[in-house]
Amino acid sequence: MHDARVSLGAESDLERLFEAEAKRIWRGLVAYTGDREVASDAMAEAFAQALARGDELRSPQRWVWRSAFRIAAGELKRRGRDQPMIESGYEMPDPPLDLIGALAKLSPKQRAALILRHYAGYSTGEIAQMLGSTAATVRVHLSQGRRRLRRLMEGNRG
Amino acid sequence: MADLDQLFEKLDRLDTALSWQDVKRRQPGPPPSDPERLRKILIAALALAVAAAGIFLALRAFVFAQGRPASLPLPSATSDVRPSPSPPPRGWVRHTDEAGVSIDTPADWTFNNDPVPALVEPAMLFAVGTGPVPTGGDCAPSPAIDGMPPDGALFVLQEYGSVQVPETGQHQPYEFRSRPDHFDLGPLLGPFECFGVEAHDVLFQDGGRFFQVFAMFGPDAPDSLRQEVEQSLDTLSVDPRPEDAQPLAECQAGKWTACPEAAWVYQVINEGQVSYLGHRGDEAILGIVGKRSFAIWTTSSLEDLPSVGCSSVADIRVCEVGDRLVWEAQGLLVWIEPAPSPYDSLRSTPGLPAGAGLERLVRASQRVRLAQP
Repeated sequence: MHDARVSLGAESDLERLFEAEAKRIWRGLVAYTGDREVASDAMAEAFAQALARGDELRSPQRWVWRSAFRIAAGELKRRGRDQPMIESGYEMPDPPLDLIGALAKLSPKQRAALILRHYAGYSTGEIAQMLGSTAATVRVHLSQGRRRLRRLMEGNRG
Repeated sequence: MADLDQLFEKLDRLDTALSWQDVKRRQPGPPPSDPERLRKILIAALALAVAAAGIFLALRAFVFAQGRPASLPLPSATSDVRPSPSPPPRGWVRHTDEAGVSIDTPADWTFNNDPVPALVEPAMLFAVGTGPVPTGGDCAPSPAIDGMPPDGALFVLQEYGSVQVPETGQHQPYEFRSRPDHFDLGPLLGPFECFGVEAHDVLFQDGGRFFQVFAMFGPDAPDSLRQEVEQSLDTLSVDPRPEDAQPLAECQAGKWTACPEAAWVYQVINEGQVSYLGHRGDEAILGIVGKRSFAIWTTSSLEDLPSVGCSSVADIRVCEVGDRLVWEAQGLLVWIEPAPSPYDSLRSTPGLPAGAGLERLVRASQRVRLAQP
């Protein structure tokens, strides 16, 4: 997946990135944290930091995804739980609670790798850079995470 | 994995109200910490402690016990200094990497020909530092970066072996400009995901091979050090790929995106502050200005520009041909036409850049030199 390389330094370009990507990032973060508040906060903070960096960012899209996930991971840790808290009471029909619940049972790295691969569409190489890991390690996280997630989802259906 | 892609699509049911104004009003906190980095620092510290203990024991056994200085072998990082056929500048030495790349550096700099063994693609061919350059790190020479002296410099050369392979190669051939006569490190960018620090980033191709230099400087590094690093990079010598395996062969076979002209267009759109959207087949690069997305490519300038439908943009004659625009630059004809963005999530419509956007593009096309292979 290529970054839509945002014209450097322009606030309006970041705003456009926000319009195009913010909801997807937020949804990915909800899946990662199980908490809408943490997701909203992490996403807003990542964009605010990107805004403060101005022209420095070479790939703002990837940078924001990565920073938002790091901020969210930090917040989960601060609250003393690596596993997400599953919120109920989403004000919508048929929320994907089964998926979020199953993801919550994976390790944080498996969870992040799966969301970035299957929801955000990043390649293993890009995910490795975003998670500060190697492509080989990410492939292991993906493989184990996929197997476990499938098993958990089948269990939900049964 | 289509089943999982479909499964994750369920997340699209989640909805919330998000406001850009909230982001703008927000006071950003400190940058997010990298838990991996702390772990790496601890591992590096432990490795250093073990190494120091090992050296102490070796010295005690061989030096102090025998009462005379031992002749310790040179560290492997500097063991492949070879005599040069055309000598490097006085006080400099030539290092040759196993991958057929050589570089001259001041003799007191450290050369490590395998700084990050864990990194497979791109491969880090070598790292050079004014201070120590220990081996280690997952995707960057983290111990060397952490140990860089405040007035020092560190640079690395990476080679991409899988350019164009979508799963692992994140780059296209045209993103690598032809090797310049003189390296200019350009602006400080980043911080980069792997390196965790700001760095100068130079992509280039030489002999049909694709390289990337990352150069980092300590906060107290003098300006002259940057010049020395650029001078060192100017001495890079690369064993070329066989001619039939070079991108030029693909270019001659009709693949425009493998041609030097495509690398030039890529530089032009970056200089012209056009956002890059990838490419359309083998024939054009895609860009966007404002919300208008378009394709841009070149042809040889054997044909004349039309005599009607032309206007002056940045003192250059730009002509309309159907729904296309065309102008002359660097002995080429530059063409643009409306084209859809490949990204559904990007709100854009096919259209031609106008006003200041077009002017930036035309000016950049006159400014950026087309390097001949």
